Amino acid sequence: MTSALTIRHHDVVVVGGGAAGIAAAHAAASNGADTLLIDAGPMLGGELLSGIPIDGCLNTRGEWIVGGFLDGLLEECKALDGFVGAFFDWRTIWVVCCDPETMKLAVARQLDKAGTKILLNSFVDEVVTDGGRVKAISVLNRNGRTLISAGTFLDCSGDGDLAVGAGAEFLSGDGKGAYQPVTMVFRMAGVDSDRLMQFAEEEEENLALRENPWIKETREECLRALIKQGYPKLFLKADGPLMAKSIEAGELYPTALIGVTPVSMRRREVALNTTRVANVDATDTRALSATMPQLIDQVWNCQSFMRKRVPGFENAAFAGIAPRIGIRETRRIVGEETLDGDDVLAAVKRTDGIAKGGHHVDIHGGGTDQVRKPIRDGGSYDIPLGCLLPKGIENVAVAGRCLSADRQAHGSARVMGTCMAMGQAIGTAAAIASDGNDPHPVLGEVPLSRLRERLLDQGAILDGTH
Amino acid sequence: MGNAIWDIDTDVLVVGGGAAGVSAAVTAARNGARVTIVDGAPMLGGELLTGRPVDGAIALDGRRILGGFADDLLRGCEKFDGRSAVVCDFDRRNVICMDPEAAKLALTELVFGSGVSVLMYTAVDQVVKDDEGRVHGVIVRNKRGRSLIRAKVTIDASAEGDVFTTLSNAVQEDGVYADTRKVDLTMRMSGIDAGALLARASETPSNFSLLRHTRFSDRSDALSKFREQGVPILKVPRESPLLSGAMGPGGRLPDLEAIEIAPTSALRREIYVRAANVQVPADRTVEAASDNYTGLHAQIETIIAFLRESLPGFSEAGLAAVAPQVEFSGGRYAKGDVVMDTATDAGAPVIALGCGVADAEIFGIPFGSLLVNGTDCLLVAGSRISAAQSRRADTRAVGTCMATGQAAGLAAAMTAESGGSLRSLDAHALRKRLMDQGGVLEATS
Ligand SMILES: Cc1cc2nc3c(=O)[nH]c(=O)nc-3n(C[C@H](O)[C@H](O)[C@H](O)COP(=O)(O)OP(=O)(O)OC[C@H]3O[C@@H](n4cnc5c(N)ncnc54)[C@H](O)[C@@H]3O)c2cc1C
Ligand SMILES: Cc1cc2nc3c(=O)[nH]c(=O)nc-3n(C[C@H](O)[C@H](O)[C@H](O)COP(=O)(O)OP(=O)(O)OC[C@H]3O[C@@H](n4cnc5c(N)ncnc54)[C@H](O)[C@@H]3O)c2cc1C
Repeated sequence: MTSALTIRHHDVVVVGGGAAGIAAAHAAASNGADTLLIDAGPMLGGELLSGIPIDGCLNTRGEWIVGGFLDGLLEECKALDGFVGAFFDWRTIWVVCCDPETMKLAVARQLDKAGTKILLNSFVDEVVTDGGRVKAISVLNRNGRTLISAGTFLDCSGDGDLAVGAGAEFLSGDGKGAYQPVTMVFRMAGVDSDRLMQFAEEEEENLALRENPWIKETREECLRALIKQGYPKLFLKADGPLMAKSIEAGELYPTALIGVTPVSMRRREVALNTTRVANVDATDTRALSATMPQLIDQVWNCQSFMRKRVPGFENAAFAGIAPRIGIRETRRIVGEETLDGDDVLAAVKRTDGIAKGGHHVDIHGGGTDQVRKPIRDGGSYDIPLGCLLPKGIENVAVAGRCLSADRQAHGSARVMGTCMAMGQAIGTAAAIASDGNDPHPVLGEVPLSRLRERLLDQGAILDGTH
Repeated sequence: MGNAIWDIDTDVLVVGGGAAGVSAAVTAARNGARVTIVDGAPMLGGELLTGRPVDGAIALDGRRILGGFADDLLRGCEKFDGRSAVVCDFDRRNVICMDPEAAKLALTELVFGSGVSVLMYTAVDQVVKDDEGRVHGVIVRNKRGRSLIRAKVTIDASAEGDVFTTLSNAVQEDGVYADTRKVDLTMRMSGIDAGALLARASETPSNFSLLRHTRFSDRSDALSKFREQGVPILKVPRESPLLSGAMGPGGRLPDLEAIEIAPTSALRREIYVRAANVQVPADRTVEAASDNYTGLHAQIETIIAFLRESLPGFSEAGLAAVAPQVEFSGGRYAKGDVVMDTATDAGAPVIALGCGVADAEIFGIPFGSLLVNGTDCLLVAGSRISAAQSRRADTRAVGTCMATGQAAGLAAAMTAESGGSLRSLDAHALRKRLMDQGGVLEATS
């Protein structure tokens, strides 16, 4: 820790290496921009490393609505034997399941191929502004402070730290102290998938199925199809007899669902998404840290419940927790435009879309509460660039869960497939903006047709789906 | 990112939540101190999270040299199905093998359960000291903003000397001038067939680091016991025909120091693998480690492929986990009241024990090697305590880090309570209380 200030410059700086940030950095670098990706943590990939599946890659109908960066990443996972598959949960979504440990290697490969520069363990703590532009950011790490200037800055910090530091307006949770819960995802190995699916078939009243009216099959048919799919991808629901009884008896803490996701068939391993502490402002570090013991209690409680009550888990072993506490919701930056929840639910299409979403509105609350609203016709909606441009700041864009959206729309667009699509869009926009050697690029001035053309060339899916 | 500075007042501040830091924090809290621990990472545990075997707990002759906090941790792991085992490497050491995933849960329970106030994702920004060089605390940085944490005693358990290196004359010079540091990225693999591996090792021991201690001079007896133990613990050194043939120009492996494996979970048939590494300039470690992030991950791919093809027992094995962070060797060591070396006077009151990596001899660590030169109110614990080059490989062992952490935590709590200075602390009273709390200061069988 010295007091001297090191200086460096890049065309594009991306803050945050979660699903949105790695896509943004990859897109910017592979489109020719000198790009630096910064994260405060020790690893890249964010929630992709926790074991949860990638949602929002396909709509309910099973049409792919995200491509480009995602395709490359999944190719790497396949090559490394870490791809499990894309599955329909016969409830409301298609999920893409990968091994989160292989994902670490796949993310590294992707960024390496694009030539992205990386700076880890480095916290962005100050923003230097000049009028409506960000000139530089100050980054703190063990080696001291570095002042990093760039033509454009892409805020993929989840919390919108950079945009907020630059003076952007923001909304936070429901504005009255409610936030979606934080969660510790955990994994169990040695699961007998056949036995689990047999149980699912025999005691189907425990499963969440058929939540989107677009699904024409009967509940019974959905169940058959799920079993036929053959992979341990299912949701146990709180109002099914098994969970309800255990919650009632105090054997299980109150939670809405237990989401089971296959992560490795070789290790016979699944991830479980179920623990929760609601209404914590995760930007309050002390409050976030303090959720740890409760989350860990729930992890152990749930793994005991699974082993005791859920066939297929009798001989499973606890296999670990995610690298960090999972955060669903903090700030939403106020952008040039705001993604509207009704448009999301109505699957509204636009001619100026630069990314697509298709996940249902999915707002977890405390205990067994969860709002789940399906998208009309099992379709998808378009996100315009304006939702990713903080109002009044010309060289900053955001992507990921800090996008400009109302709370309902956020409940859908926050998922990782959509985060990657948004990331790829702003990364590409930033590269185009710095193409012309303009020392003061303005992201809002990137010609929309050029951006859309480039995205389509590079595999993004913008049109032609429900 | 606010500009306000929050004010936190505590008796004992622990910087760093690795083996040493958590041991110090829990011990101080249990001894009545108000304790705050800060760690820059998203998870407590530091290098414990790699799943590496714990040295410095059981000497090669089987005697216990560690107790107290370590016992609580192992019991905690047990509760979370992490069955630890004492394992002999049939070379030079006994280690305790631990499941790092169970350890994450156990550590959380121990730290929060003892009432320690925890700030994760929080890194030290500045050290607060007065004209006499006394450390009064630190300013930390996190998403909430800056906080001034004022403490009666600060314990630097950062493994990088992030507190003591800001003081004058508190660093041993030799470490500072090393040009490069080694960065490792470890991993875990599952699905190995231990029997096949051990059979090969016993047939061709020359490929492995085995039997170097005189204890194993009856080679065939030792090798049969090694096979009987049935546990996959092995080191393939770079000089071995197996590795040397695969490294260098045209070879498929990067330049490795060794491939080391040890068990982490019998339940998951899982092992720890240390191999991937790279040298980086010592003066810009964060940047250099970041520059090598993708390269280290690529090494892991290569090493897995190599193991699957070249070592029996690995044909069905695959990746189970990549360690949560890269790790550094080398760097800066504290200059303490005592700079311990292999000749350090055993007469000085000993507050922790260690075990020599090379000679398997037990040695004592004096309190003076935790007291940082020229300053008061600051202790160092863990891998950076004041030891000369000849002792550093031993004092940085995970078990020894827990032992020095425990001693530092207790010393800090006693000092905070009495209001005196660290240097006037009665070392005999410290020893007695440590032993009352399970600390091992005389090796026991
Ligand atoms: C428990 C849980 C379950 C979920 N389930 C699913 C699911 O099944 N499928 C799905 O698709 N989605 C799911 N989601 C939603 C989804 O995972 C997240 O919304 C998404 O990953 C957010 O990605 P992001 O890139 O926007 O942000 P994040 O992944 O939060 O990444 C932000 C990054 O920025 C870094 N950062 C933040 N501030 C700074 C700073 N000041 N300086 C430097 N770096 C900084 C952080 O370290 C972090 O790595 C779930 C979320 C949670 C928490
Ligand atoms: C490659 C390698 C192999 C090894 N093999 C073995 C082995 O087989 N057996 C063995 O016993 N030992 C081994 N060691 C040594 C041992 O792992 C370490 O010395 C020991 O774990 C260090 O413990 P610690 O508590 O001192 O530090 P760490 O575990 O490194 O913890 C330090 C903590 O401090 C935090 N931190 C650092 N700086 C700051 C800051 N400024 N602000 C806030 N937080 C901060 C970090 O995030 C980290 O969590 C090995 C070491 C390496 C590098």
